[in-house]
Amino acid sequence: MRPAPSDALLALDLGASKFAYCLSRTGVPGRVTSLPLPVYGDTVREFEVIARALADDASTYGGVPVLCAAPSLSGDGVVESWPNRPHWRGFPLLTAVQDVLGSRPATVGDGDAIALADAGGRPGAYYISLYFGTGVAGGIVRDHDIVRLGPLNSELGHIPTDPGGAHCSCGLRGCFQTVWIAWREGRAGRDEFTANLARLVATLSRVFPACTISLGGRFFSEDRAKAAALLDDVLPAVGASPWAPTLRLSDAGVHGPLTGALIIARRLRNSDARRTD
Amino acid sequence: MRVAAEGIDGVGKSTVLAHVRRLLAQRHSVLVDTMAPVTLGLLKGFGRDVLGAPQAYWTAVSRRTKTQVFLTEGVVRAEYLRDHHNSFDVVLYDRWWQTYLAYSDGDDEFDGRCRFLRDRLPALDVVFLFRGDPAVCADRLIADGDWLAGQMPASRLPGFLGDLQSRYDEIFRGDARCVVIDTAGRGPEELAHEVVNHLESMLPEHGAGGPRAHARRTTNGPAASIIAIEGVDGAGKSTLARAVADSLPGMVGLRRLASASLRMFKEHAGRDGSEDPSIAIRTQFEDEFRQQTYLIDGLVQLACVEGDAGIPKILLFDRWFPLFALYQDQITSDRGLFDYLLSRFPIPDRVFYIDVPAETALARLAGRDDWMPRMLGAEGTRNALRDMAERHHRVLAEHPHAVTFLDGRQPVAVLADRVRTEIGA
Repeated sequence: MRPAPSDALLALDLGASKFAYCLSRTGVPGRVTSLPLPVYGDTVREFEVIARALADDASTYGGVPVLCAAPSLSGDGVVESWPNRPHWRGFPLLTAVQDVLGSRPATVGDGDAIALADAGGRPGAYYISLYFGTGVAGGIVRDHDIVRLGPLNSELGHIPTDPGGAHCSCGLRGCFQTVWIAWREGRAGRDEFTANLARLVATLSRVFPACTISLGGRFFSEDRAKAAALLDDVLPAVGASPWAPTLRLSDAGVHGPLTGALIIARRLRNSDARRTD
Repeated sequence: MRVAAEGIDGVGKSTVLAHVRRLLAQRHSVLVDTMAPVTLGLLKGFGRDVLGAPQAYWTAVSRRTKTQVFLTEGVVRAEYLRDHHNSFDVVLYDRWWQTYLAYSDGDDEFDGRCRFLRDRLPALDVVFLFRGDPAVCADRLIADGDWLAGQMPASRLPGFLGDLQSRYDEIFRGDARCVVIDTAGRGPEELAHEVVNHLESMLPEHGAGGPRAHARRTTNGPAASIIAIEGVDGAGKSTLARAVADSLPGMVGLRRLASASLRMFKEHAGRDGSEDPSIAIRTQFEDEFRQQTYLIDGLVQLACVEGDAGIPKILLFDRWFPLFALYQDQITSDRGLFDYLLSRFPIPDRVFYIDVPAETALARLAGRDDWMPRMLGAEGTRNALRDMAERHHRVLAEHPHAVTFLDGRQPVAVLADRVRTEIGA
């Protein structure tokens, strides 16, 4: 793939278990190419899967490609932290992608991208997104911008909700993500998951009063009635007050990360166009 | 208040409605429903069980039939769920009949039957027409792996959606109840606020139902025991059914299968009073149309019964027409679908069959000036009753239903006693 004059924006999504990308002229993902990302324990071999897929695709793109990345990256694009693939730490991800694409991508955390795709426009309001995939990604948006509370992505899935619970790949115990994984794999019941989700929501609502929290991912988008029933069970545990959060299902769909990446790609193109004007 | 959202696929109707429901539910009782959830499930079942894939019904069943059966449910569902719907301040429909007209190719597909049914749908207070950029909608459908996106090359999808949007524009032109919502560049939350602002101006400050959001009711068929009384015309089914139901209030609920559409046809056919409605429905409506309608109606009715707060332990049906399939041969369009639908009716837990000689039945029919002798004459009615009884007996002998034969010449009190004993009342 080479940069060439085109009005199609390129968005890439590096998740814990898959890599996906799409070209879009409308800002909505459209046709998405998605491939599983094997775990070899060898970063170079794993990245080759990505490089091959992109190199085989003869499409062209315009503007700056945007990579939605599950790992946290340093300023120069090196993986600093990726609890789901700890062996990627130290890998120069952006340089490697640049070598394949011919231009250096902008980046956004996966939770941030989804939050961006899912946020509403109420001025001053906090929109928090929890995205249930292999793990639990999360992001916070206010006034259409990502809220950064530190150098790392908002790893909301790694907030402990069960201090005596299972060990997490990040090194802590009882991260909310471990409960989600246990429920997904049939090792935890719905009540346990619901109780932990309520604790997480309660915690977030104390930090961000009257925020809107949306839940997304395949589970929450495939059977909306079942998902809505789960929300109904969580809300009473959170409590009612003027500062209670609004809990809702995500609008971002299963390609939320790519939608968020395209929002950034479009902003970059627009700001670039303004500079040119 | 009944409200519908319309617009092309991928424009975001369902997503916005989910927000609208949440926002409205803070002060009002809200129900989200669709026009034909039961029929859609049945058509997908036909696709899955008969054609090999749920969505295969879409191409295998003619557009006219699809539209007709969806509209049929729209009419009868509103009838069976009237009390349930009326307990909410707002009923939100995701799509309404305009969808089927927009997809139809002229009067051959949205024909007289469809227009008849359309005119009997409950009236809406407002319809929100969501308009959007067809290219964006197409990309959404592709990204979501929507079935429609698989039906044509991606390059054709925006054009298809653009044409569809033009049809919607044409359908709603001049419609005073239509509010156009432009979705371009706006998120679902913002769009939902626009919809809610519009609705709030039409709603009372505090609705009758209070704050309540409700998903549509599950419709898997009744949990009650189904008992049917059968027999030829004039056998005394209705008299016996009423006697049993009246003697067991609360325990037995008397029902007539497909009663909503039967009433619909009769009311229309007999509206000027010049003809007996029972005869008029046979002269004014095609046999096929009526039989297709009864099949859909019956299945929707059974689905709607489930969830009734006061559902009795036993549902007693005065006639169970699917058992004998007497009129199935009158259906020629999309017969395979309707044969499948016939098979979807549950088998009653017990059938009480009233055996009565044709002469006895004829005398009763003539005595009450029934449509049969008036239309067919004495000889024609006698022959029809004998044919009917013969087919009834053949079916009852062939099928392992739990059948109790009753001697229709005995007094109704004796027969009612027998029924009560058999059903354990």
